[in-house]
Amino acid sequence: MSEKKRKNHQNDESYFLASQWTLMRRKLMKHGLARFSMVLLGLLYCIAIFGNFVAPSDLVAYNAKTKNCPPTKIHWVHEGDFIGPFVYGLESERNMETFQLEYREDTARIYRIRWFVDGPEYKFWGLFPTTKHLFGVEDDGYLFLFGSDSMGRDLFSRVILGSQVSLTIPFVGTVISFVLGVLIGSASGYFGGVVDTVVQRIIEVLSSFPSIPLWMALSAAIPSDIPVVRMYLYITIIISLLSWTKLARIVRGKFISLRNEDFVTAAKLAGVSDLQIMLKHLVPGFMSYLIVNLTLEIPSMIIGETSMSFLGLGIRSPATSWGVLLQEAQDISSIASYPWRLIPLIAVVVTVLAFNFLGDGLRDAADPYK
Amino acid sequence: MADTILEVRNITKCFNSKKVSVKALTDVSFDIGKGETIGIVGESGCGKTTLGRCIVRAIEATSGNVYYTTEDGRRVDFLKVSHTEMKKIRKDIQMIFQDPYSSLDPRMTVLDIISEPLKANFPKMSKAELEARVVEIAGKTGLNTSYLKRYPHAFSGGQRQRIGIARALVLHPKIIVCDEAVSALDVSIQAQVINLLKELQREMDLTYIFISHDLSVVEYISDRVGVMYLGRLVEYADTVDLYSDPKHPYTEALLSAVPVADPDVVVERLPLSGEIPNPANPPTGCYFHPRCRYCIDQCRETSPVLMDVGGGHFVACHRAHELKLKGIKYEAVALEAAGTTSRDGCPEVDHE
Amino acid sequence: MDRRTEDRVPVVQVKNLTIDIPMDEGVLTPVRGVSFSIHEGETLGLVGESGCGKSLTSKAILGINDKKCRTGGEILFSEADHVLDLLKLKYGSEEIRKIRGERASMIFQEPMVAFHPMYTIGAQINECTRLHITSDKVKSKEITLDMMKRVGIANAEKRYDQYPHEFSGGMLQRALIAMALVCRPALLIADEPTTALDVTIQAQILELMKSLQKEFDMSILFITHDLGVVANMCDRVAVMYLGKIVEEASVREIYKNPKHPYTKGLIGSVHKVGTHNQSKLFSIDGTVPLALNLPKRCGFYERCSSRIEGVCNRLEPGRTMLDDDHSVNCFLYDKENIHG
Repeated sequence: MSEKKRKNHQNDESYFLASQWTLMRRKLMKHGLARFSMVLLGLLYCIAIFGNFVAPSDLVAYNAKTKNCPPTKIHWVHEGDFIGPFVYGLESERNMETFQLEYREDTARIYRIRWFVDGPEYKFWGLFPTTKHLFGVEDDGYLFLFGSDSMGRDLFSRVILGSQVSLTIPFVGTVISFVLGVLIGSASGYFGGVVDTVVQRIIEVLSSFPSIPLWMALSAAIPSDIPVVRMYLYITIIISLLSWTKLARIVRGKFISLRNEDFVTAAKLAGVSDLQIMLKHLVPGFMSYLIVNLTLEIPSMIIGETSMSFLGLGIRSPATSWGVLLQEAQDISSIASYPWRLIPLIAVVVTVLAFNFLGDGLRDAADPYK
Repeated sequence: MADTILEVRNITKCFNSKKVSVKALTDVSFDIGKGETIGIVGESGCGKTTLGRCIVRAIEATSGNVYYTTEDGRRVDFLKVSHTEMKKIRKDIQMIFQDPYSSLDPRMTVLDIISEPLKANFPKMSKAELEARVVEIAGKTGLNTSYLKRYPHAFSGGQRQRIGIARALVLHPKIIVCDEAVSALDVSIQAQVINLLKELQREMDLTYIFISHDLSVVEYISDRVGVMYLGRLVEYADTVDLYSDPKHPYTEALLSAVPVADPDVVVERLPLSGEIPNPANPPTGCYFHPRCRYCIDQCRETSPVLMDVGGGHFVACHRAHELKLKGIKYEAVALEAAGTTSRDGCPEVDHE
Repeated sequence: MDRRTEDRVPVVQVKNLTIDIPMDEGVLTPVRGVSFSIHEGETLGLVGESGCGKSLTSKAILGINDKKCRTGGEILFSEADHVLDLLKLKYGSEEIRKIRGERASMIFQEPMVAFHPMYTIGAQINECTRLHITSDKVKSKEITLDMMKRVGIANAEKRYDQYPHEFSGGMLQRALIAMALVCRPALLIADEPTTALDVTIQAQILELMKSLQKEFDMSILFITHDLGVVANMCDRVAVMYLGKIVEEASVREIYKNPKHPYTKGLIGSVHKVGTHNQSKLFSIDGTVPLALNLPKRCGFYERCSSRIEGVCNRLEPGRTMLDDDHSVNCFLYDKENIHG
């Protein structure tokens, strides 16, 4: 059937002139879920890139008065008058039976939500100091879209700032394992023989380690007092050191199967050099498969980072990632009394699903000739 | 009388794995004259594809030589030439593949596919010249030159095969190995491609080694035919000679099995008993003896050598002289015509 | 050779069979009104190039086409006392399953993929016996072994317990034939049964099919693209092009007196062994168009060398009977309808 489907485009001149990438893109665009995921991921990454600007608050805004505050309600209408989005003032009172702070709205005070308000100072992309934020409340009102944590920090801001770590580690890690996987995998497939055997054994040994204990061992080796950026780098390397093996195997398999294709023999007979054959026929041949596999690899890296931080082995407070947030929410009281502190979990699930759907779409599109 | 362009001598190819060594080719020798078409026939697993790939050096033969007489009259061993020499003569021996789908890189345009050999051999060639050469050869192979910017997926099997032929011809080779070049195509497309190959042969003075399992296509296109069985060449002769007067019992059986596209032709079938033996564990003596109806004691013990039984008809059979075997019945006219035309295209060969 | 006689009942009659497949880009019509009948003990060859719809037609008889194929027309199957329209039976229903395997069965091009690699050959053939003939274990094994011997599998007892990978291609095809014939079907559909085999094995299998046909008095629908095999095997031939039968006649007529330009081209493009004809092979220009959104005209119009402009590109030719046994779909032989 697929053969016929392919031929259906026969009257379409642009189809004939379309390269493999164009065909892939067209097919991907037909995959509704993948398209939606792509938009969603684009949005998430935009937010992460402009995190400091989007987040109304920063990571160190401790406030004992607003501990464990539930998500703030946003109102539009006050006593019958429409005045745009605003929040009421926050009043807290300790419940003498449970000894917990309980929050009420003080309808006498109104704080309007405004665009581009001044907030805590930060350096935009580490370059220009500024105090402008995308949105916020005027004066000294409180706006906790996702509620606040046990130190009174805005959870929404922390989820956004945490995504800067949680969404980029997999990317950097993927790049590292991509380079390792392609280099080692193609060497293994190209040279064969002893090189191949040695590489394959190393891969087998590496992938037979249980990952969590290995992470624990490796991260125990990281000194705890190093700057956040270095820590970030170390964790990326730890994660990618383990995940290149899968890619190397895929590259090797594809390499070997492509090496026996007739068009490679034809190029060889025409006197094309080995290096040229690799660059022109083999690498483009498995690139599409590689991209698919990378996309499907990213979610496992996100989960990897999250679980490391959750176990207390990765990023540590005050630096934030989704794993750190979940670790803070892991006690039973937060699930019972402060369910909003599990919101970072939703962020993880949504991102992982989006990557998986995108990977699915890419996989279907990867071989446009079938 | 045409000159010999290629002398294949004692080609042997072993595929070794950890446990067994399989001899895919054993001592295959034959000569090819310039401008000739040599058909190589045999059933699957007989080594005909391996032979073709050894000759073009897509795989390396275990032992043997392929002497190639170059344009300027030098005789070089194609399998053992130096690297610099190879660069010069590599382009003289090219190949056309069976599967028109896997033989073209789906990621390259037709222009890129056809010009790739040029780029590899003449790196200094200008873009305009490159394109001119491609257009010229595409025209010759019947490709619409306005389609050169398209990708292979835009073409049907027959057109793809034309692209493959254009790629093989763009370097102006002397010898083309056609490995089942028309087997994957539909009947009417097959005829188009065969006609094209014949036309190109005349125009560009090509020598073909035409490997196929289809005995009627081989009869049509070849001047001489070699029959292979289990890695050995068992018979090698002029096409009409071989088809009408086979000397090897295997050839006889093969010919009797050919379905003739004519309901009036009733062929007496000489069914072969049994199956092709496992090449990893071939029979003793003549490889064909367990299935041969004329087998005698000698056949079980010693392996026959390929030898000339007269008129350039080579057979590897102990009883070649005494057996009267049945071939295809030719109409008298056809035989006469063949006797005058095809025989003088064949050089006398002294076989080792 | 069996000649068709008028008093014999057709085993199966296909009437105006159409198959279409809805696609994103429109409706694909791989089979566009095919009619033929196969008589008892007769072999009908269905000949055509890839994509002409011959396989889909044969699969429609057994109701094993993909579910998204929409089928129209009638397929009348003669049972002992009544005639059954196979297309009216529900997909996967009890009745069609009974026809399938018991009254009509099929052999395929690739015997290697027709068997499950994890079960022995004997067990797989026996499954058919047990399902359709007898549930008695001893008896069914007896029947199975008998059939394996009849199709020329030497050492049937030993072979019974072997797995598909221990069989060669030719032997597997024999086993497949045994499986198809174990219920003595009235109709055997052979879809390119020898295409994947070597010539000598092909000759063996064809001989076997002929002798079994005589023995069991069954009809064969033989689907192939190989004109040499057709000349050898068939009593009548139907030539298909682009989802239609363009010519139907006895095998001798087709080869000696082809009428349709496509048939002529097809026959002309095959070299006949034993002629040493060195002149250019006849070839049909162009390629088969795709059966998608076809305009109303003769399907062969674009490639035909004797087309009549203004007629062939405006009208679709109907069936013209040249004599009792020879019909053709072409305006060259249908002068009356040219203006209608």
